[in-house]
Amino acid sequence: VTVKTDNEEVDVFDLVGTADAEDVRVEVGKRRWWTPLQRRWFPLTLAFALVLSAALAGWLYFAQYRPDRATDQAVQQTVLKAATDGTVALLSYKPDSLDHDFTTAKSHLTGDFLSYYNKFTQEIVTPAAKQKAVSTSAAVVRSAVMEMHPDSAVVMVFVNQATTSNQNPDGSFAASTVKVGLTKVDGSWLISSFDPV
Amino acid sequence: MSDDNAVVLIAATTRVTNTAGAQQQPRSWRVAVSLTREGGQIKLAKVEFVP
Repeated sequence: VTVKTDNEEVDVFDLVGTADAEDVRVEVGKRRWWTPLQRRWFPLTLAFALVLSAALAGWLYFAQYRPDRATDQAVQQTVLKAATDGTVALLSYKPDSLDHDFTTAKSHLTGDFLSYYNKFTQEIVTPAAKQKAVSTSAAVVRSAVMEMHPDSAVVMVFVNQATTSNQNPDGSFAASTVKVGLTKVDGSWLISSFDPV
Repeated sequence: MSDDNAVVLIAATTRVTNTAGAQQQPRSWRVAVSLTREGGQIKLAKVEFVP
């Protein structure tokens, strides 16, 4: 038995073996829309695989690699240093260099906390520090990262602070714990919140 | 922090009541705890008070 298709004559029994010739006539005779695609299955599969792997690579880069790099050990060290330096600057001042000390401190701050600190130092700390000759110096003894995100972080710092004034010339010593919130602004980490525990 | 070791900082408060007169008096502690993985279990290896 032979069946005439568009292109060629085919012996149906060669193609389908024991199948019924009536059924086969229908299948071979009709050209479906995907028939040209079937012939090019290899390049099509290859193109599909390429697109799929490119998409996967892109997703891995943006969803996995970049956030990992932005929160890795090196960045955590940077964040810890920023929190430590900022805390020390924030809590250390002497009566004869108040303005300079607060300007230095403000360079470590950002956002609402910057405006709060500005107001607080001008209205409360400066008059009191001048009147009572308050001199204080802070040191961070230990610090650790509590939260780490690509653009924000929370660090816990253990602070020791020594304070002297004309009322207390021998000085007092305070040990405290502070949760320092940091935000990445233009590539540098600045303190955006400062909450004693 | 490594695969089998970690150091955790803890800020803790305890409340003390005793016959010497303390009534729920708060005491703050700063502690650095070293932890080690030992046979699939994480254990305290050192508890250090931070002065």
